[in-house]
Amino acid sequence: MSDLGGFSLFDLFRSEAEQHAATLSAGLVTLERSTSPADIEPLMRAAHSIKGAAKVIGLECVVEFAHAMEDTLVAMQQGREAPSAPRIDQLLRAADLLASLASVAESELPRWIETNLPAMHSLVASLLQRADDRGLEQRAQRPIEGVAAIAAPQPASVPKAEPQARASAVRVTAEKLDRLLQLSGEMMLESRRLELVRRQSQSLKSRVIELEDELDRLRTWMRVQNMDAGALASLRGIVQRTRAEVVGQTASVDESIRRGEETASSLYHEVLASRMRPFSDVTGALPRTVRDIARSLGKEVHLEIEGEGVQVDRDILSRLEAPLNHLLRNALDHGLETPQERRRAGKPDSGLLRVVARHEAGMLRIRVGDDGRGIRPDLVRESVVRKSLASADMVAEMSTQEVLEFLFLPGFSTAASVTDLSGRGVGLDVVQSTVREVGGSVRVESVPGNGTIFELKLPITVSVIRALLADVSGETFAFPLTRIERVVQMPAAELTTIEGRMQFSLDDRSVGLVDAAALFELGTIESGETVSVIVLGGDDWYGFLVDAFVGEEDLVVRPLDSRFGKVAHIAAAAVREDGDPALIVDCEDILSSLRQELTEGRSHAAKRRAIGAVSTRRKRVLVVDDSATVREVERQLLVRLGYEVESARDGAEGLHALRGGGYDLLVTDVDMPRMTGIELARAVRADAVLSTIPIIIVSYKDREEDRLAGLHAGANAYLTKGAFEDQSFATMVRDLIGEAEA
Amino acid sequence: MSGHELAPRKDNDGFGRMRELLARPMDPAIITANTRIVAQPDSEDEGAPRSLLIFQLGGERLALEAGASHRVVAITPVRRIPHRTNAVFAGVANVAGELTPVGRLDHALGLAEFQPSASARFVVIGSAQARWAFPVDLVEGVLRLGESRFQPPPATVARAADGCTIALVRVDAAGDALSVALLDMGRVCALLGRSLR
Repeated sequence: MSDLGGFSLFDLFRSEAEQHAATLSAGLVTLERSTSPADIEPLMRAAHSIKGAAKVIGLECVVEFAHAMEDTLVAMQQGREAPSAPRIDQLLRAADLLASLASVAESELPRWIETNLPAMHSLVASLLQRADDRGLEQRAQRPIEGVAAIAAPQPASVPKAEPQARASAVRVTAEKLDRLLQLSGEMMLESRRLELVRRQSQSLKSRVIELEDELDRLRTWMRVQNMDAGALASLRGIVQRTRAEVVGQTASVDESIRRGEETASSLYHEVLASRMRPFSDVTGALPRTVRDIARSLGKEVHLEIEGEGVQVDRDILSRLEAPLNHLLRNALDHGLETPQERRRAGKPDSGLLRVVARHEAGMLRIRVGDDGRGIRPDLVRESVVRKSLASADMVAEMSTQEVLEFLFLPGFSTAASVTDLSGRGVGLDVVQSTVREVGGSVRVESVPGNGTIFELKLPITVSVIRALLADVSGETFAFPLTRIERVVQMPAAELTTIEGRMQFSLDDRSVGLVDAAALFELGTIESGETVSVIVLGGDDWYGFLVDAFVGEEDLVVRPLDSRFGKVAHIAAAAVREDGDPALIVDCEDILSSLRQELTEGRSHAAKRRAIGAVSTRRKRVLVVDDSATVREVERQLLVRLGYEVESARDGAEGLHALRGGGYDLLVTDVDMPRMTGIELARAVRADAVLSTIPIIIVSYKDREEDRLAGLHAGANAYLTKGAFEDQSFATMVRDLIGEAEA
Repeated sequence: MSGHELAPRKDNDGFGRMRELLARPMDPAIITANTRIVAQPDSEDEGAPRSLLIFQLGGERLALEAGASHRVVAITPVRRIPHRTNAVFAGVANVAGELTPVGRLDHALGLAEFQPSASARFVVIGSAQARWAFPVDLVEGVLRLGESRFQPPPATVARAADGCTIALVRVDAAGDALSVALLDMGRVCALLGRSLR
C-alpha cells in the first residue's frame, strides 16, 4: 500500500523532511548562542522523526545520516559536546542535504542518492567523531563563542521554529487566493440579496394576519346580525394553521438568512486576512544567511530582528525578500568592519545588524541598520564628479542627503574605488526599483564611523484599503482615508471666488476648490445648497468638490485592466460591498497635477489656447526625471542655452504637464516611479494633440536594447547621461527644436 | 464499504429518499435508447454541427460560436473611467466578481442603439487576459446547426476593414428562415480593443 489519497509515501516523507530540515536549520543557528537543553530538544526530535520516516520507506542511507545528527544533538544536550561553530556547520550542512532531499522527485531519487552519498558518508563520519576526540579543536574554537555571549540577552530576535504551524500549512497559488476572494465577495453580495426574500416573507406574514383579523371581524359582524357563524369555523381553522405555518417559516427564513450573511461575511474576511502574513515569513532565513556570510567574510556579527509579528500583505512580503537580503549582504560585506578594524575604532569585535519592522502611519517601515564604518559623503561626491553625473560646483551645493541619493543610481557603484572606500551601492538601484514597484520608497542615512541605516517605506497591503466613497457625476470614486486631510460639508454660500477660483476657509486656511468631475473629464458638479468637499494634500490643502459622500468602506484593491495602461488620476479599481465597481483615485497623481497647474498660474483651457499663439516667445522644454539632481543638471544646461525650462518628477506628472500645453521638447529619464519614460513617450505619441512633440530620452542605461526600447517607444533620440559633459545633449536639442528664440 | 453504510441515518427524510432515487443504477436499455436519440443528427443539417449563441442587438440578430462566449449574465452597473470612456468603451462592470471592460458593440458596429430592458444581458467574451463584456438586447439561446447552413457574408461586409462577420447562418425561427450574422470573437475583441487607445 504505497498510495495514500494520491500522495505516494515518498511524497509524505518529502513534506516531513522539508519541515524538519527547516526546523533544524532555524534551530541550529540559535544553538550557537544558547545551548539550553530546551532549545536542543525540538532539534533532536526533528532528526529522530526523519530517521523514523526514512526507515519506513526504506531509505537506509538517510536513516544512518539522521541517526548521526540525532546522536550529535543528544551529546550536546547532555553536555558531552559543546555546540562549536564547526559542529554547527556540519549539522547545518546535514540539514541542507535533507532539505535538498525533500525537493527531489521520486523518479530522481536514485540519482540524488548516488550524487550525494559520498557527502553524506563523510558528514556521518565527522559527526560521529565525538567531542572527546576533538578536545583541542574545541578549545581552539572558544573565541567564536564570543558571539554567543553578546547574543544571549536577545533570544527574542531568533525566530522560534514553529513545527505545528508549518505542518498545517498548504500551498495555494496567489491567483487561486484572489479568485477565492472574488468568489467569497460575490457570496457575501448574494447573501445580502436574500434580504429581498426576507422582506417578501415578512409581507406574506402580515397579509395572513390581516386575513385572520378580517375573518374575525366578519364573524363578529355575523353574530351581531344574528347570523350563523358556524360555517366560518373551518375557514378560520385553515387561516389559523396557515398563519402558524407562515410565522414559523418566516422565522426560520430569517434565521437562515442571518446565519448565511454572517458566514459569508466571515468567510470573506478570513480570505482577506489570509493574504496577510507575519513579517517573520521573510526573516526566517535571515539568521542563517547572515551567519553564513559573516563566517565566510571572517566577520563577527549579531543580527537583531524586531517586529516579526507585524502583519504584511503576502504580495509585498514576497517582493521584500530580495531587497532585504541585498541590504544585509551589503551591510555585511561593505558596511561592517573586520574585528581588528572594529577594535581599532574602539567598537566591540562583533558588529550589530538590526532589522526593524513596524507599522507607522498606515505604512510598513523597515529599517536595516548596521554599526559599521558608514558612508563618507566626500567620497560619494568625488565619485559623482568623476563619473560626470554633476559638476563639482553643483555637488558642493548639495546636501549630504542629496548626495547619498546618487547611491541608488544604476551602475553608480561599479567603480571599484567607491565600493572599496565608501562601500555601498552594489545593486541599490535594484532595491529601489523593487520597492517603488509596490508603491514604496527607500532612503539612506549614514554617520561616517557609526553606521548606516536604510529605511524602506512600504504600503502594508496592496490589497485592502479603507476609503471614503464619493459620487462624482454619477460615478463612485474611492478616496483612500490615509490621504484625506478633512471632509467638509457646508452651505454653498460659504464659497467665495478669488481670481475666478473657488475657495473657502478651513482652520484659518484658504483652501482652493477643484471640481472633481471636471478634473476627471466627466462633466461638472451640480452644486445645490450644500457642497461636499474632500480635502487632500500635505502641506498645501486642496478641496475636491464632489456630488455627495456615500460612506466609508474597506475595499479590495484590484489593479485596473492592464489594457488601459496608466489612467490619469486613478490608481486602481475595487468592487464595493454592494457589488458595484468603484475607482480608487490616485491622490498623489491628482495633487501633483494640480500643483503643476497652480505654480504655472494658468488653467488648462488657458494654456491650450497659448499653443502656437505666441511666436516670439522662447522655446519651452519639459524635463522629466525623478532625481532632483539630474533635473537640476538638465535645467541649468538648457537655461544656459536660452530655453525656458520646467520640470516634472515622473512620467505621470510629466504627461499632465504636457497636456497643459506649450512645450516644444520633452526630455525624460527612463526609470521613474508611477510612469516610466518609455510609457511617457508612448503616451505622448498616442495623444492626438501631443504626438508631434520631439522627445529626447536621457538615461544611465546604455545597453543597445535599452536604446532600441526608447526609440521604439517614439523617442527622437536616446542619450546616456554622459552626454551632459560633451556637447551631444546640447547639439541634439538644437537639432530637434532649433535655437531658443524662435 | 457500500453506499448504504455511508448514507445518512435519517433515511426517511426527503433528501435521503431523493439521494436513493438518484443513486439507483440506470437500466442499460434506457441508456442505450437515450444515447441513440441524443446522437441522432438533425435531419436538415449536414456536416458537423456547431453550437451558436444567438442574440439580438440594435434590431439585428447576431451569433457567436457558443464556445467563444465566456458567459451570459444580467446587466450590472458600468463605471465610466475618467479620461478614457468613449462611445465604444463604456467603462468597467462587475461581472461575476471580475471587473470587466464593457464595450458598446452596437456603437462599434454602427447598429441601432442598445436599449436597457429586463431582457438585456451582458455577453462576455475573450480570454482571461482580454475579456470584454458587451450589452445585448436579448439572448435567444444556443442552437446546434450543421455546416450546410453556413454561407460566406456579402462582399460589403467581408471586405470592410473592421467587419466582424465571418459567415451568414440560416436559422429557422417560428417557421421562417432567418439569416444571422456569425461574428468572429477575435475580431470583436480587436474592434472593441481599439477603443482603449
